[in-house]
Amino acid sequence: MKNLIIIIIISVLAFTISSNSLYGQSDRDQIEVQVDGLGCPFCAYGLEKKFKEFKGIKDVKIEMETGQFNFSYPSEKGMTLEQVESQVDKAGYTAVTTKIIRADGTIEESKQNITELTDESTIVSKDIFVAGNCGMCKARIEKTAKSIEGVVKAEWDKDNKMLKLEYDSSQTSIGEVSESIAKAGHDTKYSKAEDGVYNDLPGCCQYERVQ
Amino acid sequence: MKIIYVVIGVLLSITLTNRGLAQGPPITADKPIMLGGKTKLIKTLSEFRKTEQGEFLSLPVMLHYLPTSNSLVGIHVPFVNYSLSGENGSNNSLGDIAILGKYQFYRKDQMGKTFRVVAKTLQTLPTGEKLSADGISTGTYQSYQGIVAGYESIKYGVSNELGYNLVPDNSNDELRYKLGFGLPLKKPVYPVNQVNLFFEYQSSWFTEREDFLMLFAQGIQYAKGRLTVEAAVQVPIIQSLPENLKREYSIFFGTRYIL
Repeated sequence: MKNLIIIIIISVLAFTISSNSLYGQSDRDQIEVQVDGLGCPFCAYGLEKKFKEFKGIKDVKIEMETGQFNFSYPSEKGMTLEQVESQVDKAGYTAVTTKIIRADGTIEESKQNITELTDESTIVSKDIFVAGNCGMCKARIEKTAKSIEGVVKAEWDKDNKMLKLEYDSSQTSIGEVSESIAKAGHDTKYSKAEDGVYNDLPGCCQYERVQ
Repeated sequence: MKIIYVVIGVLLSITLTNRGLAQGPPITADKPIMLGGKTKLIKTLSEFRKTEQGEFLSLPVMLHYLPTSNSLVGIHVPFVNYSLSGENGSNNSLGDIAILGKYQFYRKDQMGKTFRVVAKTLQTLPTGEKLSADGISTGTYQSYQGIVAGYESIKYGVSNELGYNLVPDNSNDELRYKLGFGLPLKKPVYPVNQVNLFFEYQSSWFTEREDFLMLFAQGIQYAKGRLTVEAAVQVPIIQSLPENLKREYSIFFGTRYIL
């Protein structure tokens, strides 16, 4: 009888904990913002402090090197992309891209560059080699590519150094994207970054040059 | 001989700027970065200054408030202990209270770096004794207008300040330029946990007196969470001043706490 009671208590506790855990995960939106201007950890403090004005903010994480600012927020409060971007501005920084993963799995995303497709648009998918090392390189490469009108999608994989591009060939070309990425400091299969720009990259980003 | 300090500072700056890290606020210079609207900051930067006329200890309390992300108001209330040579004696007194205002009018952000420019005004009230201790106790009204421009990245920070300090009788009018380099000794992480080195220069040209003073300060700063502790030593490199105003050195010790 005693064992049965213990088993029931443990089962009830396990059920309660797992329910809470599931509930805890499913009632919060995950917000991911790429922030420009975070030149030092004190800047990050100012950013977090400003967002603490939103009661219920949790799981704050700020990566200094990439400017990636992530947090979670109660889903029922329905934080909007505009609220996030406005609050980053009030903190004195610039939101480049904002993504909200809603508790129900839907994703809302602001785009740095919204490419307008026309009847003449032809979407081309292409992978190109882009040299780089780290998360900071990833943010820089993708940000540069997405800022070009005509680019629909840009995702760089730091393991195989390949940039998956989708672009409208009536608005841009692989050459233009490649040139822009090289101007940001990263060698590509088609273009080489100038030495001065490469040398100005943070130490962690100074990849092995493409010969 | 004092030129050695300049050379050491510049060489260290060049060497350390190759590190991929970040830094905090300057110690004796100023910076254009602000910490977000509605932020309150309490700080102090005590200075022990030894000059030809005697010794001064300034213990200021500084309260800063940022109404918006690009504006700041502040008040600095210094308490002064001095000991002068000869018959001038020693005393404890209130120093010159100063009211600070800053407005950031230019901002360019990029990933992991920012360039900002701030207009600055500092109104110094004649609440202190007439001690000829600039920045501590002069007993005269002063109005300073300046521009602070700074570039800050996770690699290094550079701050510049150019301004003019007006005194009603023009006797102490001053064209002032400050240049600061901030260099970190630890990888940038958040929450804040940093040790930073600073190399700071200040040039003062007293336009009516045609005197000139150039100071070099080297400092170290430790910041963890909302608290920052810092210390610096400042020495004159060039001083074309009346004999009694010549400086020997200053030692700074400060703390900052973000409320």
